[in-house]
Amino acid sequence: MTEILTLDEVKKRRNDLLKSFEMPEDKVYELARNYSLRSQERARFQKIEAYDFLLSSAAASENEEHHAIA
Amino acid sequence: MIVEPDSDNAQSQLRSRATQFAENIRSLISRTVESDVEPFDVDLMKPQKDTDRLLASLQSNPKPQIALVSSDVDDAVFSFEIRFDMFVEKFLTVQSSRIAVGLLGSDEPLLRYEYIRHPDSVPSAHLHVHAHRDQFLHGMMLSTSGRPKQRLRKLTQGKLPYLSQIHFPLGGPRLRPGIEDVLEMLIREFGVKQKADAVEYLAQSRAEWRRLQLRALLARNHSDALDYLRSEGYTVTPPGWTPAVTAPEDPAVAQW
Repeated sequence: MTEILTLDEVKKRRNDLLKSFEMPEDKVYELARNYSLRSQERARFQKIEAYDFLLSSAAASENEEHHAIA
Repeated sequence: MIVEPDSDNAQSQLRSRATQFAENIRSLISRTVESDVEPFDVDLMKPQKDTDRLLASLQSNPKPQIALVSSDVDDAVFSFEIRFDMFVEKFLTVQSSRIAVGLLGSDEPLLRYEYIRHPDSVPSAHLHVHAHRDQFLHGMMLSTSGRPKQRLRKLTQGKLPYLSQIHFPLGGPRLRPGIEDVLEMLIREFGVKQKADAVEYLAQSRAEWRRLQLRALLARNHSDALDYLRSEGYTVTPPGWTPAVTAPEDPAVAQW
């Protein structure tokens, strides 16, 4: 069964994956944009993209909530 | 690792909805073209404690490309990469998606079909073509305003423009193509090996997708539906309440 992760768990997984590239974050994203990552690296980067979506959407959800309360 | 308890029935249902969506896509590919498609990776997150909403990101497996077999050489030649990012509530709402088609062994795809529900300045549904023609690049930098101006500025910084940077619009959020259209294009235009009755199966699945979109359009454009039915001689009785959104205010209709 697919697990439901918490915000902290997603942050940790994303950061751990980024660290595994052993290069600055900007460089990882630049290589991905230029299709210069190797196959295994691309698979890992795709996971980072998934986590980026979850984190940015969670932030958007939170803003919506604050806006509603305000 | 934190796993939410299954006793939370609502959450369990949301989880099932997301994983079923992923399985439906895998099944559509598996049923129609020769491929090595495997169950998708599904990442789920609950954004807040007290919410009946999950965030879901689905990605194709493995490697992360799916290998498609060519009819002529009977070997895997093409790659297919899929990603859906969604809000899972009462309904599934796709926030963004990407379907990339390429050749195995080449990192850069040939085509990318993409969708962004709330884009800044690009068409919500669009196609990227990874190809080259000198005249195209010339045309992309002729004007001294807007994006051509930006491209010229970037060129002076050593960043070349590419045809693949163009977002070719594909009908907006409601009338965008579905995965069935891409699969049929691969069969007909690129000779990807199809399974028995694949085209008929794709047509049936496409009809379901378009009916869903048609219903979404009708739900937000009552006056157009009423006008048409009345013009055909139907007598339509209002329900006694005013629809929340009526045409022509539905923004999705006007969105590029």
